[in-house]
Amino acid sequence: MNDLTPVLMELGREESRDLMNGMKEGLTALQDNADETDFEEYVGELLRHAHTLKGVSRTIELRDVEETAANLERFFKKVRHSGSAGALNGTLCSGEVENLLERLDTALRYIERDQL
Amino acid sequence: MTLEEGCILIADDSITQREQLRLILEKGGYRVSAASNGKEAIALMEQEKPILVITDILMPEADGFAVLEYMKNNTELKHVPVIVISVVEEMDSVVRCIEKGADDYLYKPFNPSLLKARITSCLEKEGLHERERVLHRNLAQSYEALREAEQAHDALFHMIVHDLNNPLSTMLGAVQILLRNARSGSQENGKLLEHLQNMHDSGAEMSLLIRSILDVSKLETGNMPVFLSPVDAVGLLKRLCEQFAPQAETVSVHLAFESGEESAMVRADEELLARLLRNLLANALRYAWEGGNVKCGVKKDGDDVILSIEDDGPGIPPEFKDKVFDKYFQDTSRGRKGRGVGLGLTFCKMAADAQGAEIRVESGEGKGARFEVVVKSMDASTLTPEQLAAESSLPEGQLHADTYRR
Repeated sequence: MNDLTPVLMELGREESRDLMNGMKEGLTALQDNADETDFEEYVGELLRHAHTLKGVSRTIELRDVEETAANLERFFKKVRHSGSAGALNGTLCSGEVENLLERLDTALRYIERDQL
Repeated sequence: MTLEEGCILIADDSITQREQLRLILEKGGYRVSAASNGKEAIALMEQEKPILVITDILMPEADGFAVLEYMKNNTELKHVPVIVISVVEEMDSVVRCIEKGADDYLYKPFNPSLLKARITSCLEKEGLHERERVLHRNLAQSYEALREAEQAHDALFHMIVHDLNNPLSTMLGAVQILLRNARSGSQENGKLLEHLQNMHDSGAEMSLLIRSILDVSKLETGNMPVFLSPVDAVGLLKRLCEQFAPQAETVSVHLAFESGEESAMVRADEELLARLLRNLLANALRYAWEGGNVKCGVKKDGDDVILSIEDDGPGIPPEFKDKVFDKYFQDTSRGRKGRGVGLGLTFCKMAADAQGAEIRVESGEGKGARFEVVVKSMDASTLTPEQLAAESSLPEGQLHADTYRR
């Protein structure tokens, strides 16, 4: 365990929650507007958020959140790599978005519990 | 700048990571500045001039690579050490950062002790590099100074050979004539005197040249003794003007001495001050126009006494004004009537320094040149001549030249 202060732990949980809520909204928006021209930039931002979440959750030792963040990062990389907006709703990501949204909800509940 | 005064700049888009780093670093005595993206970090660098940068790689606006690229292309920042903080999966990115000039890296979550150790090591390495750079710069400057000195010595050698050769040829010519006349028994008294005078003048010219070289050398090495005593500046300069009157007449220059003071006691080495003033007088007569004027004067100015020698010759071009006291400097622009080795004014400057006086020049092209020697007035000093002598660490008031060298 890192010798993190309670203030720092709380800051880490808050930041993780904000990032996850942001990603939930982002994923939903992507599903709804997959043909938008700024798709690549948008996915890039979500990828960065997933990456930051991975670092923060690792620092404050929230292993489940870290695993979810790693999954999200891999997913966004795959979508970005496909280079096509259509990939999000195509066979490449079939069912993955729903699965990730579910995992984000679980992780958020985990954080809420951890805070109590 | 001590480490504690220096600032460490953190660039990370995670507030948690930034605050964790800040806590660790501030506990270690460092001042911390933090940016939430690469662009902000670059802007902060311009204000803070950090001693070290810790940066994340993946950040909005500008990433860690952009930060590194900016730093390495900036003269002031390129030597500032950079530590990259990343997650272990980013090895390719870390390698790219090292290739771009990062000094070290750490994985998240990092160990605070390891972070501190890496910072210390980076700063120590940079300290050594900086010392190396300073040494290199000094070495390059020394080399340049040596090269210039070597060139100056070469030039001096050529000038000495040339300047000795002329009077020596005159002297040998006169001796040859005298020998031929003596052998043929056709000695004429009038011619004999003329030849002897030529031989004497040539010998004196050579002697003066050799003496000025020796004087500058002695003053440089601190081997010229300086005896400070009360000297009447008015009496001294007046006497020297009288001595130079025949020479002034020969070159058709009107030499005048004017002083509102009856006397002005200064503390100086009389012999050294006289030689300094003789050099200035000879220079003024050399540069004054035919039919022109050389004015000498003494005036009191607070605790100082100013001795001035002014000619109305061509003056010193502005680009040479700061160089006239430099060793071996010769102003070739002024159409000199006689040539020296460029040591006369160097000697004057050194002789002034050696007795705690100051020499300065006012001139403009076509406006003549006014040299002033500023000497401490004895009226301002309560020291008796005996006390003045006792000031010296050497017996009998003898001071080494470098005692007063500035």
